[in-house]
Amino acid sequence: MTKFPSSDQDYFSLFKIPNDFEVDLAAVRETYLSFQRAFHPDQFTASSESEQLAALQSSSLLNDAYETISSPIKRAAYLLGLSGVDVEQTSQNDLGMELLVEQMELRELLGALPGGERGLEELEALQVEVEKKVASCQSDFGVAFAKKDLQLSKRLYHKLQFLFKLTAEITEDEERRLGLG
Amino acid sequence: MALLQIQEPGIKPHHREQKFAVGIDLGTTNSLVAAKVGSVVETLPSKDGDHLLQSIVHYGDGAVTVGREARDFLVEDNKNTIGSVKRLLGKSQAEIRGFGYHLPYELDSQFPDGDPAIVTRHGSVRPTQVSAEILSVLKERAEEFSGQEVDGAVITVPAYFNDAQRQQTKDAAELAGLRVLRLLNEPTAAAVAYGLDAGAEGNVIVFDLGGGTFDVSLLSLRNGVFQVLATGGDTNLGGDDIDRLLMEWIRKRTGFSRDIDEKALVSLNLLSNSIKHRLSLEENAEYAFNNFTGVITRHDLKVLCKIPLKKMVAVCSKVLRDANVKISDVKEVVMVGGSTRMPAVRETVADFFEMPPLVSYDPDKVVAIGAGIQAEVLVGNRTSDEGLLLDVTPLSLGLETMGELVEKIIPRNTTIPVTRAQDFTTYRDGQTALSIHIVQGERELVSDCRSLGRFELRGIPPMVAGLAKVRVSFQVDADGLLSVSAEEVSTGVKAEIAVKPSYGLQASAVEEMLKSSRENAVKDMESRSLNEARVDAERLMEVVDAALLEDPDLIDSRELSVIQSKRELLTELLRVGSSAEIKKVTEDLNLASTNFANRRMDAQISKTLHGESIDSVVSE
Repeated sequence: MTKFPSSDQDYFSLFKIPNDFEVDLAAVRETYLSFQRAFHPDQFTASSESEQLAALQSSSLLNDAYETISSPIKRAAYLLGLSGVDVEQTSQNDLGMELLVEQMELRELLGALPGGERGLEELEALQVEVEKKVASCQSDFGVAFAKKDLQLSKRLYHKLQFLFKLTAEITEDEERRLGLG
Repeated sequence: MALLQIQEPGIKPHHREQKFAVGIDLGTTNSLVAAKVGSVVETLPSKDGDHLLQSIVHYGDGAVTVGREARDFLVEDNKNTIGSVKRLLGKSQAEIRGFGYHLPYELDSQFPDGDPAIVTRHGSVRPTQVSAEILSVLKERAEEFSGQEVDGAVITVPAYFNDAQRQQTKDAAELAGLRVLRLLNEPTAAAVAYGLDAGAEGNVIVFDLGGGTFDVSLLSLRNGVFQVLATGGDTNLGGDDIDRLLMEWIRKRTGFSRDIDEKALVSLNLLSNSIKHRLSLEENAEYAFNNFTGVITRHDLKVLCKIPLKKMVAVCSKVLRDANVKISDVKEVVMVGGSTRMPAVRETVADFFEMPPLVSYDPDKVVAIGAGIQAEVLVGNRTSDEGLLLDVTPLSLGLETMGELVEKIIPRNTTIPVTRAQDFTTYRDGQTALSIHIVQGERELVSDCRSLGRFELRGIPPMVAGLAKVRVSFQVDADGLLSVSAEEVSTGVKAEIAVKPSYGLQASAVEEMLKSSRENAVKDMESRSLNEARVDAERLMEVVDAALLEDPDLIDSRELSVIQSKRELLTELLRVGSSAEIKKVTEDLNLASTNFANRRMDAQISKTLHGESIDSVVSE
């Protein structure tokens, strides 16, 4: 009988890495793939029904864990969750006026771009700017979380969330302008 | 044929425990079966030496024939000869009628539940039955070839097939007496055949243009792991469409009117198909039809195909963007499917990816061979250390929430298998059942997505709205098939279904929905906002109505008249108002009833303080 990974452990223990925001993604990927090689349902097509079910569950768990850890925003939310911070419960005060104003200004920039292909160049410039902000916000989050400053971490998480949403909107806008369906 | 396989001395004769597994490419135009022959996996020929079996089924006076013999009846017995049945899998009658082109056979409009069935002299047959005929021939071919029974099969499907199409493919295989080891996406199968052969590493695009479907997948190949990073496509784009464009072109030049008779139409189709093939070999093709002769060049055909080619490029571009991979990071482009023989397609692909596509593999066989290799792994004849496949869901899966909105539970391009759960709650006091409607697609409104199934969770204990916690879990297995279960968390009441296609909605093809999803993003946002405003308004009205009914003595007449007038206005706006108007009046009504609500709260607290338990207050 194969010993499948337990779903009780958190994703960081599953991949045998410390609960830090900074992770070695290449190493995590290797671990993930070696686990998938061992537990993927394809390995159990001739096994008992209960083993097949366990393989399906383990493989799903691994996919979820890998996706969570490899995405900065999901990883940040997950780490906060492990530290007992509920990111769903957020008040205006958690965000801070400064953050809200900055986000509104960025959105206004996006809204004010000329339409169609004419605005593409400026859109790309905005994208680069937002990407820089994402990078610096991620590194700030890493520092704050390492210092166990959960309040600041939570605020930076929400900032990151805004920035990712904005990135997604910029991408969608760009695809519309390029006529990609 | 098995007798001709000579064993080398010293090598063990056929192992008793070695199972016989096959890979089947069930194509729109041609189907193939592949299995291990000696030490390599190859496609198996028929007695006549043909590897390709034409996916055409003829329901004759006595027997059912498949393949080339069936093709001979396309003209003289078109009503009983069914080609391209793969296009019908998982579709409703209404969707098929909406294809926008003529089908030579008749659909049974009386068939129950709107399921499609084709009228033949053998009675009405479902697309799954027609597909099963093709699969049976391939199964027999494999068994005659090897002298062994087939223990299991890997059947390929376009990556872009939705849940209904996958389910029906599996049903067809089971109908043909095949044990399905796995449904495998066609581009992934091609990548397996290519990757294992070339030992390639890096990002590989598989460009698969078949007779009826178009798929593009981007895979990362590393250390024997084939991970699909993103997939895209169009389940209604293929060589058949090019035939139809060509038919229309010739029809116009040969003086036939639009209502050309059916037999001439079929001959015209065959002619177009053969011209297309000739133009893959030569620069010009002469043709003769209806006493008219003419010449068409390769260039003419490329111009004719402008729109389909543009669609293909758009899909490639989208796949790269979805995976966040640049053209310069693509190491190889593998061409799959007979239609990639067209020079126009090759040139377009080469221009877009800035490199010549790899055409050294037989584009017709590579998918079946990849499926055969994976079948060997899955049946246990070889270890999967040599190849681990991690595929993705092609389309987002979600649930209908209030206001006919879709809540996405599993976004497209998520690695499978995957399990995701989401909690929902009741929105009426005392609600004991929750209806769950599963949809697939990228759009925000339920009516624009494909409905996959509905079920109901009953037996939720009556509670105040918002207290019950219903956890809905979606599970997509390694075949890409979905099952859904729901559970009320506090009581453990459960319900689940394996999703079978439901044809409740007359939606057009899913890929069209996907395409229009971006075009319609703005419109969706407006209707989403309107729906949300309506839901909020209705909810508030319900709460206010219930409160007025329960505590009429806690409100004075002036307050009551303000509340009533706002409520009337809101009722009217629900029919004709914009989302902004509805939101504003909802807020007005909310403010107008705030004092009343506070008095009710006070009254309830004092009731509780007078000895009633909190439970009985809350569950009122």
